[in-house]
Amino acid sequence: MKKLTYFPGCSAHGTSEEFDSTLKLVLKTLDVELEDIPDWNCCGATSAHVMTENLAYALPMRNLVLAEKLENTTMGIACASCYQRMKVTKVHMDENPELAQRINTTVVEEGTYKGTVDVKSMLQYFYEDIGVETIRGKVTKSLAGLKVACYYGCLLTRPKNITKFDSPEYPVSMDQICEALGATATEFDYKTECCGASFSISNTEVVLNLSGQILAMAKESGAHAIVVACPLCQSNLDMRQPDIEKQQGVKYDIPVFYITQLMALAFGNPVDQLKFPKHIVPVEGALANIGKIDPVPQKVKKPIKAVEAESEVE
Amino acid sequence: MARVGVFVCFCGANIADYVDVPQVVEEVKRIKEVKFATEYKYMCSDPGQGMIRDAIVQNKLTSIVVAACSPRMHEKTFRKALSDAGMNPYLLEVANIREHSSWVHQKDKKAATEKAMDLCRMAVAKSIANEQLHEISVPVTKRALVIGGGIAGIQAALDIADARIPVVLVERSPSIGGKMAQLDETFPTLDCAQCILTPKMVDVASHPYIELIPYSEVIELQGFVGNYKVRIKKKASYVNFKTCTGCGACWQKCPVKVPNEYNMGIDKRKAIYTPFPQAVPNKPVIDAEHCTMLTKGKCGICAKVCDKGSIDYTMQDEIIEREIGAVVVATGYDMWDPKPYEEYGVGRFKDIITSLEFERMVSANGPTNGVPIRPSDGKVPKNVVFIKCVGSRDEAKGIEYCSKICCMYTTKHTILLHHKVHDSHAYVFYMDIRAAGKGYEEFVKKAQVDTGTTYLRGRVSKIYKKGDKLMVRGEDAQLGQVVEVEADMVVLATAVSAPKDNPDLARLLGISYDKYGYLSEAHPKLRPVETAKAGIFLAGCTQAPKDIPETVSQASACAAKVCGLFAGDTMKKDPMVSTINNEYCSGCQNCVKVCPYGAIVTDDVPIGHGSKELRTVAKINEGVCQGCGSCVAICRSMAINLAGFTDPQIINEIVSI
Amino acid sequence: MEAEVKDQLVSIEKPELIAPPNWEPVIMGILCNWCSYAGSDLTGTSRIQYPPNIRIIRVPCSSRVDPWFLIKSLQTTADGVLVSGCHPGDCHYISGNYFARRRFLVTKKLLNFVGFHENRIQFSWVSAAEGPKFAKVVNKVTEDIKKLGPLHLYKKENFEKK
Repeated sequence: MKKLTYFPGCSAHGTSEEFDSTLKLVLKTLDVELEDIPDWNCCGATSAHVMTENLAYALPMRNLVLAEKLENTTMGIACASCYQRMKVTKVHMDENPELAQRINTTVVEEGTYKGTVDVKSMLQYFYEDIGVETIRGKVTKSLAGLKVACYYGCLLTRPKNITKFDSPEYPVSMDQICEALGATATEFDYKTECCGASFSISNTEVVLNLSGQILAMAKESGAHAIVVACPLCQSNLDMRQPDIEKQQGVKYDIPVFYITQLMALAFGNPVDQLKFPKHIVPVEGALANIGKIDPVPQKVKKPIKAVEAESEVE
Repeated sequence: MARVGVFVCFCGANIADYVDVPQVVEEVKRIKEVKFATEYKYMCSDPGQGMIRDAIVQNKLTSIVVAACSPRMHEKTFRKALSDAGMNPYLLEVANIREHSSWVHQKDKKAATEKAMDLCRMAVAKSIANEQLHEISVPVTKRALVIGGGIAGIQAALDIADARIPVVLVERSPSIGGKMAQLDETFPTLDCAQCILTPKMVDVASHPYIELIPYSEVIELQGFVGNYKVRIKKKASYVNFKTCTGCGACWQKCPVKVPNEYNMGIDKRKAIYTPFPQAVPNKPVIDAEHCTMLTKGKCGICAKVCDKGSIDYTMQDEIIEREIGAVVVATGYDMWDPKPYEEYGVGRFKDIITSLEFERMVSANGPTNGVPIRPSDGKVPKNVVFIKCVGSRDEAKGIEYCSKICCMYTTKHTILLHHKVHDSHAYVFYMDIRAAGKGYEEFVKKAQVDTGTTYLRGRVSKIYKKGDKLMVRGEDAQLGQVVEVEADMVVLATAVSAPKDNPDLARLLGISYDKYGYLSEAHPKLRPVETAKAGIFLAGCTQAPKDIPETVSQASACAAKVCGLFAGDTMKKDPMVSTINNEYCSGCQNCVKVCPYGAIVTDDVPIGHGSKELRTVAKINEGVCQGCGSCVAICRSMAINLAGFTDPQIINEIVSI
Repeated sequence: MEAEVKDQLVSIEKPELIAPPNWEPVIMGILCNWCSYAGSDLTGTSRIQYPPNIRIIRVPCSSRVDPWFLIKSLQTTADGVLVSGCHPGDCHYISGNYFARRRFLVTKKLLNFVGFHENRIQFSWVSAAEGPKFAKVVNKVTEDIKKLGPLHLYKKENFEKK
């Protein structure tokens, strides 16, 4: 059994409870045991880093220092925002030991920062540490027939020099995992566009506009559902969907799943454990596509430009 | 006994105001070797030089010290004055009492005067140890090597050959012509590139002074200026060029299809091919990587259809050696790969093409018969977005510099699009329009009016697909708004980048290159054609991005440099080089290791006079030595000395004050 | 043993000896022709003022500088030495200043060991465009050497007189 240090973050106990609970189901199948950081604290997002640098570093550093006391060398984080704060702090501290020493004086009681624990988003953990093939091997109920648009949001792969994971503009890790589950990932160009994030509360109009575009492009790509790995993305796309529909006068009816919900489903967990009732947009319509495979594959016109490098014999 | 003459200059008021010149003269007269000392208002003037000449003759002086401005300023002038008086010019020393004293100690005349005296003492002491030196003459092989057969190499080769100097032109691909042969029309006059280039290509092939070696690469260069030896690898073409008539039966029948490099992979060529119909030489070669006869031993059709029996599957690579005196490097450029622009969907969207692909499409001899078409469905595009600075001026994803030609060729592309598709509309996203050049700004202005192109100042942040259209989202910085353009096709004006194997070539030739891979000139302003290595010159984009007129100018400048180098039977060279005293040399070869020019080799000499037993000593090639003195300082047995900067000279300076 | 020798040799520097009134140090400046000498010329043409204690010797490259020159200077005429070349990577002779840099490090260590204060020998990289920097370097070196005082005891003539 593998062990993984876990930083749940505040949303895991609130708006993204379904992310947290399905993540635990998935890791059970994958034989990974989670170990919570004892006495973890708020990561500081989004207020700390716009106000004071010291606080923005000190809050994640306390978690990092506490995590270093556990045996595991990797910390998995479900929430993209928590991941971002933790990763930024780790990278900056590792690059600049003087800064690390200065910030450490704030959290001196917890111990000295050593930089021994790696920080990964759960998506990155699935992709790099578990592997797409292992995931494929655990599938008992293929999601074939379901077309999904994988939406990564702004934080999971950016900025590139901090995350050092996947592509900052057109990432593919979640697409590959979804394909491993049997689903079809559509060609979706809005993978990393902004959803409006925390403006959801202070300036809802912005979110309706931005998230609306994402929903429109997902629909355009032919997806039945959107898959995310970030609580804020999920809440903006799902919770605000009725408002967006009202504003735009379009009916999207496109549910927004956490990647872990689909994994748990494909791993054969009973549907009643997947917390689908927590969704605002009903999921049943999308899930009904599972098993219904397009009988006629889409015809692709032969391109004029030769793409294959290898020679061919007439 | 040395007899030194000292001449102290007022330099008008420049020195005299801050240094008590007469007192300096009085002081140096007290040095026992100084037999003559005087002062004058301007030593560098004709009367001043006359004083030096007269004093040399009248006082039988053995060395001269001029206390004046920096030796970097007038050392040559005064050396000439010595020569004119019949004295060896290297018996001169200059005491720099202007830049190093009067100008930097203007508030303390006493200290400045004392310092000037010390500088004179040092120069006198050094001059006593000066030796007569003579310019070195090095024999010259009057044959030039030109590497690269694009427009730069072609122009350089023709200009040198027209001066009746033999040229060896080495081209890597099967034909000369380079990137220019791929262009349709050229800015700012819209001449057809083929029409102005192919006659020059034919001239190269038929010129009695040019030896064209195509399908070959330079693999080794040895020697030094005027005396290089080059080894060239001629790749096996599997076709006997002597008997081949270029009839084309072979490539018509060849069953193997390969993406056509000349057309940027838009169509296919055969495994036996000429790159394009006007190729020079117009003889096919077999692409060994793809030919099934060479890879699997199956086929052999080309040999069957060849009347002349010119196909030879057993042909081997061949090494050619030539002795040459100078090298012109003209390896051109690569188009930058826009892959890092993932937000544009490069590689995912077929209807995003690069500017060179567009160039091939609109070219009359191109794969689409001169009509731009969408690679995805073959339709003719109506709305075309051109994005400039893709890779250029982008520190985050591309390269920092401006590629210089994209503003102009994009303007040209909007015109060509307008010519070929009358009801089309072009949009250009740009950062700046850089149209510096003769007739360039006028060209851009006229194109804007004639084509009605929409120019949008700002960067494109995203391209996504909507149906079969590409949505191009960018900023119109002048309106301060985000704009979206619905495009049928997007053309990326990709940056010009250095040829990717330039660093390898630079190492092979012993020249330097910059952080981008462009080859480095000796001086960015005053020696833009030479490299730091004597006898190696640069032409065209291998040094930095440039357009065709500039490339041709630089190529002709290279030719002028080569002709200048070959003007005499021997070359003159500064005598400030290292010499080795064999008696002291222990053969440790430390000097061989530190010499940055490979000027030191080992030699075996008899242990003693008449002895048959040999020992190893170092030997300096004075033709190659540049006179840095690294070997002198590293030599533990003090066997080496650097003429003009010998140990006795420098030690004399140190102990003289 | 080594420590003993070192103790004796450290006495070359006699901080308790007070410099005679109006004493000015002599500094030998050995400059490479292409960067630092050209830079010092630029200081002149820009009329930037600096202390008159430095005496400049021109060599083609900092790699030409033999440690012997430094030792000889301190032995005979100078209270301090400044060697200056092109910036690393910008050597006119491709790689000469890299050899120089390594050689100077060793020389400095040796001279330290025999008892010279480390500030007696200084190195700098001044390009042909850095006129103001050259003045700054000379200012600093002159100031450092002034603080150290004259090299009374080690001068050859002082030995001979005794």
